[in-house]
Amino acid sequence: MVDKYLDCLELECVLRERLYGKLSVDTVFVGGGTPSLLSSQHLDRLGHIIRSHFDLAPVTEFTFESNPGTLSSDKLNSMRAIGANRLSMGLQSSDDELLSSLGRIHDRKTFEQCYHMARLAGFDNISIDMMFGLPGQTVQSVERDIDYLIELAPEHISAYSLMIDPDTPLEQMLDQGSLTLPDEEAERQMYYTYRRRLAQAGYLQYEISNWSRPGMRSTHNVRYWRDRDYLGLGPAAHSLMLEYRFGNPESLEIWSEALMAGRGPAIVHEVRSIPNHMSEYMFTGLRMLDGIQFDSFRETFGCSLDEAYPGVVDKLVDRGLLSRDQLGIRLTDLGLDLANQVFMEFV
Amino acid sequence: MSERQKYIRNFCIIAHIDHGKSTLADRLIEATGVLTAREMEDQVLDNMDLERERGITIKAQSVRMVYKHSDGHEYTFNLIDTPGHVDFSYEVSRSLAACEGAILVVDSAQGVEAQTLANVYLAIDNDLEILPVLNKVDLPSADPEAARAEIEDVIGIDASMAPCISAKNKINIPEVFDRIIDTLPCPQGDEDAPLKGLVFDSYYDSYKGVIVHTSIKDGSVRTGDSIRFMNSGSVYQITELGYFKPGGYVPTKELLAGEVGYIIASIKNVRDITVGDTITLDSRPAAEPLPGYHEVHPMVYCGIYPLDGSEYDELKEAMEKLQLNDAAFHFEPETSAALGFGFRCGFLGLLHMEIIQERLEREYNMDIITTAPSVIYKVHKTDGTVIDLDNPSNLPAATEIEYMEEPIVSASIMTPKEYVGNIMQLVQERRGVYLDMKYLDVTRVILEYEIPLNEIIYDFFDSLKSRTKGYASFDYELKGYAQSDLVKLDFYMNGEIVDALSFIVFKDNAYPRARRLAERLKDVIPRQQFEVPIQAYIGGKIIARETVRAYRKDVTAKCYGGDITRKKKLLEKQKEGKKRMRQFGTVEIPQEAFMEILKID
Repeated sequence: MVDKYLDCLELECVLRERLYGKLSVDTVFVGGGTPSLLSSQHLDRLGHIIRSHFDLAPVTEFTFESNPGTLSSDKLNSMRAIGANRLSMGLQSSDDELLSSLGRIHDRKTFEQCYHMARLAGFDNISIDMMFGLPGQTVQSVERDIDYLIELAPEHISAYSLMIDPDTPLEQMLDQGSLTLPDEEAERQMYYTYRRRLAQAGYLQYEISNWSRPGMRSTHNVRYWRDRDYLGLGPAAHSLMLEYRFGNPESLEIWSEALMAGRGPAIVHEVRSIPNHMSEYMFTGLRMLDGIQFDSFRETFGCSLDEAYPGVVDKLVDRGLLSRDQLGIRLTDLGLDLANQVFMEFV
Repeated sequence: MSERQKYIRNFCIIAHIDHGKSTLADRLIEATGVLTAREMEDQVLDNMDLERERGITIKAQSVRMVYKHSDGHEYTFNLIDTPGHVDFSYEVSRSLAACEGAILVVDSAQGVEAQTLANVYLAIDNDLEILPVLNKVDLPSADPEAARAEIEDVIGIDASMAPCISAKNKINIPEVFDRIIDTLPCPQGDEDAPLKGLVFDSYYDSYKGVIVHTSIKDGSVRTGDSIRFMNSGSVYQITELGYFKPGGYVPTKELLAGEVGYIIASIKNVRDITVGDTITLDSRPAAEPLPGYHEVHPMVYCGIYPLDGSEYDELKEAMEKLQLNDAAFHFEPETSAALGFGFRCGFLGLLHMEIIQERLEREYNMDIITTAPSVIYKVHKTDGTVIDLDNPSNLPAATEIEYMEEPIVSASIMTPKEYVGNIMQLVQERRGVYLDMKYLDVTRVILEYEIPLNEIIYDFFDSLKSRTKGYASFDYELKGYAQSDLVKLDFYMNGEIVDALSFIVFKDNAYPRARRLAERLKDVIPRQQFEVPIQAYIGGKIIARETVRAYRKDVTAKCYGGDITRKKKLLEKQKEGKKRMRQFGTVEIPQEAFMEILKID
């Protein structure tokens, strides 16, 4: 199956190269699921495919997403060999009981081994993914997670508040009452704990859910939030290229069938309108704690923010959700808790 | 009487909900070949989405069929469909006036129901010949002979010749045709007399203007004729006339006495046409109009406001169009401190109110807010004057009120006897006074009560259904007014009165109702950025209090990789939900909050 997947990925690369020429890229992100499931040999082939169809000379950040249960030092060496310089590792929690209740295959010990293996393989830029607001989780448990993170000292940390997607086993368990979530108050305390303690430990929060050592932001993720082009390959991957948005089907089968038949696999197409562009610019840009600069808005759209959204900023400042100075606007602490209330005003 | 009219039958179908009226109508249409099988959609007459979803007929529809009888003659049948719910008896009376006969469909497993009774009596009062038909005879639980006996006992008409049919499974349908021809009278109009056409319905078509549905009682009318509406006095020239077919119209040259059809005459102003008016020829007018329908008076009132104040004119236009074919729907402009400009609307009952709301939303795409429904109270003031109060906000100060009266209805409830206890309890909770109980047969009884109307405009019908597993049926008519101890309940949100939530309630019920409603409002009002206190007041006194807690978190942790579109859609959806709320001072209140008032149980 993996061979077929790689065959199709190559077909997709060829297709895109035909359209856009050999693109020069400065960031690569191999993610979406668990690319660490691929064997060394497959990783080598993946690297070969990427290299043959893209110009990687300008690359500054090349990230692999990984699931600690599936890593080995061979795989890590292969990732390094094909150019990866950043590893994103999903720990979620340092509490083994919570991990198993989430259905994760790894435990804290496995994670730790993999983390050290990655350091040995030469990954000097590691990001750890955490979750909070988990069923059964307490603020104390989050404190312990952060103790552990500080001890490991990764360059980058993402801490995501749990989102319950409809029609998932987790949702069912919550509905049936076999699991209960921490209440909103506790969940916010967990978030504030992350914010306070990571700041004390020298991490800078640069986005709603992301922290880094100075200078170690994820350049790739910033692309999404700063309205830059990106090309996504593989099932469910989304792209923004030259004001054109497109997205692939989630099904591996449908995606591969299209490519085998010589067709483009994208099923979602949208030429971005200026109002759409503006609202995306706003609600992605405001996720960044730097917020949005009046000048760059004007530069991008040829009008001022107040002209584009008359009265909106004033209203949100009055509600205490945005702060404003001469340069621009950004979310306040309250705005970080109620960001959707802010974003909504710009769509 | 002309030979021609011998081969016309104008009739309607009377049936309880679910007894198979629409299915029988479909069978008749199918059997006369008006539609090909491919065109037959199930229940072609219920062509509003709303009707299909609820399985009820709201608007009368008409259809013309031609039937070739074994006697060699072709018969023209005009079927005028009638609604089945108690709220719509005005529709029924309009349809009846256009007919000479009525088919009474009775479910042979369930027998006669209270609403059927009401409509049958209405038909008998209108001198219509009744043709009983026993439907669903193929059901295992069917007992056609018992149903036959019941029709004779309860209604008092001869049912010995009633055909036993299954409309669903097409059993014995031809016998229905034979009985229609044999039993129902033909129209007996004078074709040479001056034109008299009864306006029994009308629709608005955005291209053709008002489409008038008429039953020609005397005379004849042609395309090009100038017609006069005798009550309104307005005159129009006919541009098109014709017959009905399912879901459409068939133009023809003329309509003659005894025929049923439509007339189009470039009538742009929907207000020029009132149902019940008589059409005559401008050049040769009839001496006097046909006896009109008894005018229907709304029993329940509420305010309807556009969610977005700028859509006031559109809402008004939509209401005018609805009123065109719904004579019982009344509205006039009013203003609310909380909601701005809107309309005070009158309805026959709560279902009628819901139907109008849904039609405004679906057919006219209006976003509306409905205030608490109210009946008309008679307020006797200390200065000796009496006011009819249809809007609780206009209640004079307590010091100016001598006493108040509220409307009382006579209600009859038909039920299997095992639910009598439940019903008695329900009616007692609603301040009903027991009058009588009669056994219809060994299993079923009719209970007679007097109940204040304001106790049944809320969820009485739903409660009755749920406490009798759906078996009880219910009918009521206004009896009169009685003095009562009433108070006005007001709600404050975040310290500001929301007048649209105010309603008048029996004093002893005020406390429990205020408490329950405050709790419900707490649940339906979404959390906002700050705490929202909800207070219920009577006079100057708080009698219930709840608080909507402020939200603490509304943020999506992840941006779903590069799938910005998905995120944007979620935000749009959230914003859409917010749009459906109305800003009251600093508080946002969703439409549902206003509907909560309706639920007591």
